[in-house]
Amino acid sequence: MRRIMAMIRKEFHQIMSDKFMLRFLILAPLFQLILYGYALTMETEHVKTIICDLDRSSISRQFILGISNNDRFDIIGTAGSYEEMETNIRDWTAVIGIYIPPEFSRDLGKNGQGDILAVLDSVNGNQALTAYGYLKQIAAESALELAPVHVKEEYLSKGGNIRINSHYWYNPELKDQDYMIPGIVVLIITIISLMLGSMSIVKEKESGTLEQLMVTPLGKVQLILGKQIPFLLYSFFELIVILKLAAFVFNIQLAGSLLSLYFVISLYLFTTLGLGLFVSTLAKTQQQALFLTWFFMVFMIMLSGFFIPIENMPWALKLITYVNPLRYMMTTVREIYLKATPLVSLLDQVVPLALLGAGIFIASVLKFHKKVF
Amino acid sequence: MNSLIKAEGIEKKFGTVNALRGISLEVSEGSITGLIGPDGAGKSTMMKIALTLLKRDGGSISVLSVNSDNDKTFIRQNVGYMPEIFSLYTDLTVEENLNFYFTIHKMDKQDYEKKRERLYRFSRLEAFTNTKAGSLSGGMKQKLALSCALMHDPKLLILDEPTTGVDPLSRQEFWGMLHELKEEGVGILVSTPYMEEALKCDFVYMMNKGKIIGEGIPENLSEEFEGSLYEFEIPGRKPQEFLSELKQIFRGDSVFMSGKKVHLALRGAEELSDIRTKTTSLDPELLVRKKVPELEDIFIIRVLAEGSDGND
Repeated sequence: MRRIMAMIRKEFHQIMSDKFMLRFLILAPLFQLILYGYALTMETEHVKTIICDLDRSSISRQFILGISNNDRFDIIGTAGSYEEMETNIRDWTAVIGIYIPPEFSRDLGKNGQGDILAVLDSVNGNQALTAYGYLKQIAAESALELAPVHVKEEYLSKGGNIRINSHYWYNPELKDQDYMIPGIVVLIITIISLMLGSMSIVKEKESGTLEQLMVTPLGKVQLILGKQIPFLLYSFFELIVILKLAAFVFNIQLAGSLLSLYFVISLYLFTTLGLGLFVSTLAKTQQQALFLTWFFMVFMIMLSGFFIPIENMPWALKLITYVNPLRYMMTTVREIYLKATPLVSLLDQVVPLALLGAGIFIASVLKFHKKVF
Repeated sequence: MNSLIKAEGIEKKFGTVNALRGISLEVSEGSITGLIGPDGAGKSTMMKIALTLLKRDGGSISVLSVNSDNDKTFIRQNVGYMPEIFSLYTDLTVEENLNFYFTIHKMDKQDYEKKRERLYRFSRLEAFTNTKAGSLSGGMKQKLALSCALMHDPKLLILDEPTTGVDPLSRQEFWGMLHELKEEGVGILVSTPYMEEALKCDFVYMMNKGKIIGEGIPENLSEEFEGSLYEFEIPGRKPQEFLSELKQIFRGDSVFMSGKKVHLALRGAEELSDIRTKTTSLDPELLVRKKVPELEDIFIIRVLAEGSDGND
């Protein structure tokens, strides 16, 4: 234990002694958070849509046809009742629910105005907002086509006759940051732990100190723990800072339990620190380590659903995302962060995450053992 | 005297390169054993095998009286090692480095003050306590590295070219430290490319291309030389200008450059006048002298002899 402590103390001495790195380590993530939080926007395509048409008139069918002809929306099915539609949105099978009440065509014919309800899961605020814009457009177009039959001229000049009432869930103000920030938190944790984790052992290799350490009573497990614990602690420290900053700058509070968040992040850190260790065994120089780390990092981020929704990926890529721990992490952290979803409901995400973490970490330790000792 | 390292016929291959070809050596308590030879002779490889940092391909070795196959950990924990490149944390201070290696080796905090004081007195690094190891001079760095390697009072020290690139004064100081340690009964295996340092060893092994080409007490090695050595010089001319001519004349014997002179080693004893007659065709200003061989001459003679035996 004292040996591990000695390693940890040494690591902190080293981090502290490099003033440039120290400042960079603290400031870079904050900068990233603020910049990405404001700058990153999303594209809207193939939004999963569920239809609940209780009107079943030619007008409502016309409207639905307009939606299904649009690439932005994928109609995944129809619901028989409002409740059914709502369930689909709650369990994330659909992002948008379109509810056409039974009196829609009657109202439209009588008052020149019919109401349609669009329920949008706006956790991805940008997507919801854009989708809503397209819906309005479709509504206006179908109304225009139908207008000569049912509606008087004067209504047309006002634009759409079909009024869409929208209810936004989970992210009522439709702020993009609400969706982005949890993702960015995960990204920053990934970058920090993966980078630092992979560089630190290679640095010892490069400077020859690893060889020196090997002729001391320091065991392999002690070495690995002594190397990884500082970065684990540092990642948590960074996490706390980021959460505070997110609350302060973007006014996004953690909705769920902090403990659950820490728990999943610990699971996740096994993956990233494990990968870092793996890179350490492959690379001889810090340069090589940097390239390898970037390879893993870009791969993980691109296939995480952060930039490109996983639903939009070709099936082969989709398959690969199942072994990407970041994929599960993105979902889990967003759920906890924004929806306060309890861990029990996230088992389908947390279990693969834990398995991947354990698998990668154990494999890396074994590989490290074989290669280095 | 107890033997600390006993190696018998050590073989090591890196791919198709035979790095070690049957090395046998011994290191005893209270003595300094030198491995001398050029870069690539296999000195570091031999040391790493003794330290269990590399696996050998053949032969047997026991270190500190234990079999190195079974007791890796014991050996690693009880040997002091200084690798060829400076391997301390350059971004930590002298004190932080010492403290780190102390904590990793020993469990008792009370000992640290005593230990530290002793090592500081020994290495004269006290004034540099808060200096980053990276900004120390070459000599200071090596003294610090030695101090760290001595943290656990090892009975055996393995030092891989500890004075390469160090100024002559610091080199002398460093060897002074090694002699002090030797007096305390520590066994030291040290490699060096400098022949004058070999003379400071109690016993040397000459290594070339993975083989031991000579071994013995340094002074005796030159005395044991049975042939005769001559030195040629032409004032105002570079030795390489008449080296090939001499090689032509003394084909089959060892002719090599040594500083500004050319040395000729003959297997038997030959009269100086005979040499003079053989070289009359050369520059009339050619000077010939008989010479007592130095360790360097012995080394080169053996290297050249190895080459001509076709053992390569």
